Amino acid sequence: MRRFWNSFKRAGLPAHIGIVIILIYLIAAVFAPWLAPYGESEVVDPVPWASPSESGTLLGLDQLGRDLYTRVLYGARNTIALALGITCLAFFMGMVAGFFAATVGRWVDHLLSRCVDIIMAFPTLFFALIALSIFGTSIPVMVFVIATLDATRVYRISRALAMDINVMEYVEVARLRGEGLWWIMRREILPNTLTPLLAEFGLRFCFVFLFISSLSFLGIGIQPPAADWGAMVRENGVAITYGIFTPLVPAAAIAVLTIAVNLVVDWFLRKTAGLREEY
Amino acid sequence: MAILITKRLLMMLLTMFAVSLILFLLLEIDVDTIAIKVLGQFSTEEQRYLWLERNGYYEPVYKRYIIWLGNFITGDFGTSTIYKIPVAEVLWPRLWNTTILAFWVFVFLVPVSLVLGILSGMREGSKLDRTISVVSILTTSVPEFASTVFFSGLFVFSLQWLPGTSSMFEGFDWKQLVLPVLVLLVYDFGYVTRMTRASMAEVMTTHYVRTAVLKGLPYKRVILKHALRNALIAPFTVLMLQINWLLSGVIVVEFFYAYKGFGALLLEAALRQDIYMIEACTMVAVFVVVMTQVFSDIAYTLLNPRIRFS
Amino acid sequence: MSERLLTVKNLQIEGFADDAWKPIVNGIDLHLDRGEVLGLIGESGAGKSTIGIATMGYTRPGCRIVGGSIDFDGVPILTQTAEQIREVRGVKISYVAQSAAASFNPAHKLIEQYTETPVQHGVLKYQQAAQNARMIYARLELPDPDKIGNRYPHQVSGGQLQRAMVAMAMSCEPDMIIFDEPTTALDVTTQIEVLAAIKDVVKQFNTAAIYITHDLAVVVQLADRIMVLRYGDLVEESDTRSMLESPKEEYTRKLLAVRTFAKNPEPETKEEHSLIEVSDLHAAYGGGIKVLDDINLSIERCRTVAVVGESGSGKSTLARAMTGLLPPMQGSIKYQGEELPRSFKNRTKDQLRQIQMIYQMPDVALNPRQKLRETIGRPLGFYFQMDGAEREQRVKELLEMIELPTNYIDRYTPELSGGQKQRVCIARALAAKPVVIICDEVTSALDQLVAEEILKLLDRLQKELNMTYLFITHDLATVKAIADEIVVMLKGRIVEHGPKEEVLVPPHHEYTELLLSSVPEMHPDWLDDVLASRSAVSA
Repeated sequence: MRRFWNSFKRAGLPAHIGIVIILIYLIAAVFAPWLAPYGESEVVDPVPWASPSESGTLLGLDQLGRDLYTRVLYGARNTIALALGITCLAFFMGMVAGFFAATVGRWVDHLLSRCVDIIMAFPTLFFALIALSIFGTSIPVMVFVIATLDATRVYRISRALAMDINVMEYVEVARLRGEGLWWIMRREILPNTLTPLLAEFGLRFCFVFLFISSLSFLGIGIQPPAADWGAMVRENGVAITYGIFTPLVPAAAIAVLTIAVNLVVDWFLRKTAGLREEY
Repeated sequence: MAILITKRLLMMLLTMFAVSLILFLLLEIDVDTIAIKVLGQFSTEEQRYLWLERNGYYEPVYKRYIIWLGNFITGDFGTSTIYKIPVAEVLWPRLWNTTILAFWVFVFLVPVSLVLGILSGMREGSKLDRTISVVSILTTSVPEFASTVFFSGLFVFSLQWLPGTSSMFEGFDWKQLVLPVLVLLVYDFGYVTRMTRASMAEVMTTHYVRTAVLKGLPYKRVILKHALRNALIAPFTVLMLQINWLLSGVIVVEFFYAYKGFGALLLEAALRQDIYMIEACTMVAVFVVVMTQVFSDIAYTLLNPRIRFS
Repeated sequence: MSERLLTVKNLQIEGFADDAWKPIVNGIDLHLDRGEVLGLIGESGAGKSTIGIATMGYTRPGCRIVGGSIDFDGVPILTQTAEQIREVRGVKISYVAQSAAASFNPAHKLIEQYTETPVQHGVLKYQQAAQNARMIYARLELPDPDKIGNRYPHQVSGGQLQRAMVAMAMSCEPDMIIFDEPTTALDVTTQIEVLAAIKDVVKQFNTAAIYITHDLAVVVQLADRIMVLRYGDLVEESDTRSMLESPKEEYTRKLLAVRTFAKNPEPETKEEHSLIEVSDLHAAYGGGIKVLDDINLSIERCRTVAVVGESGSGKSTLARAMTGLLPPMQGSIKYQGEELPRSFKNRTKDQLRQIQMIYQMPDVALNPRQKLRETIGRPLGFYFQMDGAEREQRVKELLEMIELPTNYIDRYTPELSGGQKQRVCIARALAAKPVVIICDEVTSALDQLVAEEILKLLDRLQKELNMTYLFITHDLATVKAIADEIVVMLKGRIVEHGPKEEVLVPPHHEYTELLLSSVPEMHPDWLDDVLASRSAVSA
């Protein structure tokens, strides 16, 4: 742990900026109800796109006259929480399947890998659009669909990582000792794949987070009146061509968070194995 | 080599088959829903029954699947419920528009990302490398729908150089193409650049590049003759696989700029439950993706001398 | 009086590791005359390769030259511009690397890579260079010298590729060649061909050379003068013959004495059953390529059986078949008279416990995320249900047995040196209280002095614990040191099998003879003698 801290101290400015930004976002997400001056969908003043000076608020109002600052805070809460939940679920599914495929091998590996190939043959947004149009737009459906999509990527990378470890002689030693599959996965493979998987977690979180936002942007993600940055860009997007900068705020909020996570992940990758090719 | 191609093509057919089966099961198994989607909410029970009867929906499932698949292979995708004309008549022009968009993205993506990646990987850790790395991280981090807003604010409102929509109602206009291409390009080049950089940096540390340096060859020749040839194998396959990614990306961009393309079509079809259109769009998209995977596998083999000559 | 070619003064080089610059080479002085061959010898970390390559004005990424001067034929290498150094490289100094397979560009033909240097430097036209290439390929006895240049590197065998690398280094007839462990990755019978080739061209063209290696027996064949290095410092320097006859330093004496360890042979004990009885064993990998062909072998209790062979002989496959990692196609393995299931998956816990294995690369044989407590303790818990203080105590006992401090119990394996790691592997095997230990090239990845310590440790443990060893190795010196019985393998078959005294004393099987005669010996005329006697036989 101390070694980790030491290497973090030397990580360089970009990574430090990244960490600070991520912390700010997390605080905003957790304490949104206390930090926000208004309710999540409370109409402050029914003037669309009132500027900060007109409405007396920090960032002005949105198209329905709700406080933008409040919406941004709640947006952080909704989207980040959902993205974290989905990423965790995807990692659980993908890692178990990936490790299993790599350690058992043979037909299990073939079967799982072919299934994943088939899902991956769909462009991601196509897959989500079709699934959501069939099963309807709701949070559980969205969680399941995105987690499945994401789990295929996690499967690929954890399988590849586990394959690398699986051919190591210390795993062979464990097998020859008579250890069971679960033990080998948990004690030999997991600890040695943890660092790259942690970096991958950051990347996947970004992907999920952007994916949710994209869906909301297209109108099929988090449904109004709940606040979501993607949806806020959609609702206010046209205004930009008239010189109203309201949509810039949620767009920037998204961009800054993903940049921050990427900066940290980049440092992490450089520290460990270098940027990996796509599996 | 022939065996490899056959194997890949077989694999591809199998994938297509599996995808078609999944699509069919998801979208066509519940006939009552189909009737509602096709005839609308306010159709009567009887009308639906008659329609289903006439279109063979009461046949056994496997038979329906075979007929459905047969129609698909021959290019008969059914009739769109939104446009009330055959799906194919809408689909192909839309696909063409998206191809134009994708073509221009690639025209810029390939040189920009390869050159930047190579420059950056050539001298790992140099100032240039760090700058390019940070820029590519920044650009890949900003999603398309966010950059649409930024670019619109800049080029449409502030500078007033470009139009804010790309619907091309009055015929083809290159000005309307600039923003969609730019948005996709900015989002994607960073990723390919980073992949190229990683590949180049790896090659630069190999023993054969060291050999070339110790042979006293000019630096230019070391890079061009010894490093590039091997460093470009990986980015090439990455580039091919960008088509998969691009197909997702166009949905957002086409939606925002009202560009009449394939992605916007699927979005519309999904939102308005046009099932035949969804099926057709998906099959076409999956076909394109699987095809590029086959190409990229074959290209990888062709580019790699160790595999080619063994 | 010969002419001075290279003068290195007070060369200091640092390397970047763990976020700090640390010295690798501490002020080395070195000189070389025209046509002279200098041997640089030392164990890993001695800085010998770093020095060698620095004479070309080059350092590995992560290294830097911080002081000293290098004068090559009047050219001050370290103060030259990149462009000026380029004029020297390839033309006046060239380099032969350890791994030719990695050092040739996989994308270009051999002849293209050969001709590139003279053509790019404007020394020769392409046609002339290509013709020279064919001549030198022929001189180095490469097969089909007129056409071999049209092949890609991966289409040529390891020994041939290494000779092609030597040929490439000669392409501009340089004044000096750096040979950086050029034969280390090769089998002994291939090594001798490459050594002969190097010796031949160096003499023929009167080229000066720096020959870098960890193997003293190899370097004495070629070098006129030897420098012994350790941790970046010079230990001793003298001409080859006087170094062999009267080494001044203790460290040099140790290096010279390496490979002289020999255990006392175990008396043969005849029991009713052999401990392990392998009969009619055939095995193949997935592709159907047969790697073991009709193996019959019996191993008696408390003996050490060494299986020796070159790469591709099937010796490691034999170990894998016996452990059940690669279930054989046919044949049987009996253990104490009972037939073992072919796959380890069907063997009982007790059967698995009794046959333990130690590997070549201790780095990958130990989980880097475990402390020694768990690495050594797990077999105790797994086989004997030991836990708590009892287990802790036993782990400490095992650490003492392998001569490591007991406070190492809290260390992670990456914190240990190579030799210490191999000791931990031994302790892990011992924890299972095995009857048989299969040692697969256990000393090949270690420095010679460390390797010898490991052999001594294994010998001592065998006596104390009455264990039986199956020793898989390519190194005949190891065999001589530790074996009671020797099995010689070639292409999946056993070509000779018997007690050590019988196998090592003539008459030999033809292949055993070749193998034995190819092991370099510690006197400078060995290579010439062997080559002379071989050509006498073939003539």
